[in-house]
Amino acid sequence: MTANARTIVIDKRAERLYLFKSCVAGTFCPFIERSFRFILNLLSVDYFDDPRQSSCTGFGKYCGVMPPQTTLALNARNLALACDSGYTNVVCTCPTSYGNLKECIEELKDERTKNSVDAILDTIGVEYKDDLHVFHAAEVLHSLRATLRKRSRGTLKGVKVATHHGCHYTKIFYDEVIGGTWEYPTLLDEIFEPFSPELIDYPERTLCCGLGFTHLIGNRIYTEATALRKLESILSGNPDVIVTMCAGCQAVLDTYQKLFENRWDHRAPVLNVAQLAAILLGADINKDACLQFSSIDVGPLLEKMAVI
Amino acid sequence: MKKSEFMPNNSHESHNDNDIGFLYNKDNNIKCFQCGRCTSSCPAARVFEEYNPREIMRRVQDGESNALTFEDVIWLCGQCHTCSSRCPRNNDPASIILDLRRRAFKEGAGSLDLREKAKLMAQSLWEKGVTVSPDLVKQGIFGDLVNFDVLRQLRGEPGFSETEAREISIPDNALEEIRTILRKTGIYYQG
Repeated sequence: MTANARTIVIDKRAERLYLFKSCVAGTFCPFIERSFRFILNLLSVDYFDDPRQSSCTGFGKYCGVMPPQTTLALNARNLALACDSGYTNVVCTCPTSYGNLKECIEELKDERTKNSVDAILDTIGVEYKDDLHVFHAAEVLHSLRATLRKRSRGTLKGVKVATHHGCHYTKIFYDEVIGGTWEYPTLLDEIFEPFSPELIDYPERTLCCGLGFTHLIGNRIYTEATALRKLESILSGNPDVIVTMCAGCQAVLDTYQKLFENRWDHRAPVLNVAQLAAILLGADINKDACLQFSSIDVGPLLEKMAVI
Repeated sequence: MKKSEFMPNNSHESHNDNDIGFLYNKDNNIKCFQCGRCTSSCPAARVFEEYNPREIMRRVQDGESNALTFEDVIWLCGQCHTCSSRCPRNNDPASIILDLRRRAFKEGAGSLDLREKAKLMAQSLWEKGVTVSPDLVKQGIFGDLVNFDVLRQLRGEPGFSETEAREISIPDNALEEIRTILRKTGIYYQG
């Protein structure tokens, strides 16, 4: 794609969205999709909430336990459903779905791979097409940031915000990151910039949260060491909130602050980008944004945001 | 490395002969010059002394293609892809290690615990079309990290299902399509 063509696609990234469901988000952070839908409904963004789509299998894939042809064929079907529906901006709330779907599209450009997947899809009467684009929900919110500000009566003045961009957004398709670079991503920072927060920088900005796939379902030595290293760095700037774009990152950073609660004098609630944006647009903090899922007290944050 | 050994094999005739290899990088070959930026950037190498992606790259580039000879080190990668994003030669160590994992797993490697949890994920895909669900939390896939009773209570209050990841389940006819794909690509669940 030429640079100009890509710019046009990116400019239209909030139109006719195919809302791709994430199983990790649906398990640990179901409020991410609910908050994102709240925003899309409020701003009358046209989207298709297709229940037929399967998991992308990303969690199993990156553990190394999913047959690659299973991942490819299931996602070829998923992408075909999006193409056939006419909702060709596939939007993922999960960075692993985002990275995985884009990897599948790249792999299906190989003729032999595509032929073998076509043969499987043929048995269910589906034809793979790749005339679509895959985005992360944060990229969609980024394109809507001026509207978000305009429609919101909330503010982040005086609120210290630290952001953590998921590895599978910034490091798999590292040259397609919107907002900053893969070494210094600012996508999430730019979404909230119009709300005048105090954006906090910290040394381990690009470090993994510690999830680590096999590690999370294994002995968690890596998870604990890396999550603590990450949290030491983030919390050193005394943020009021940590904003993420990944259910896995959110669950790990929240859980490890709780598990090691005596380690720090200061802790900070972890919110998904859609959760914070929905609150700024007036979403119900319990029914829509579901802040009760946070292990860390959200009271001080809400007070600073003048929500309570 | 002999590239042909890692090229896609598109036969889907049987469970044991259906491996599609991943494209290692944009040029589909490895051109590592052992600078070590992968290892110095790697959060897993910082935690595990025995884990060294540069060394894995050297061995693969030298033609070591039997995934089983790598033994436990391939399971230590956290799949964060920092190595791949930082490689000055545009290699993709994270995907190479993932491919070694897949090959080793297919040959029976991986801990018993991982293999049991892989079965849970396959079962969930078969039954519900999703890889992870609160039901798997209940079955202990995340060990004691997540307390199912706490999760269930949190989910119940705002009206989320206690056991399902989706707000709307996958319809039966769509699930049948998913199962056809699973059958043809090597996931058979027998309850």
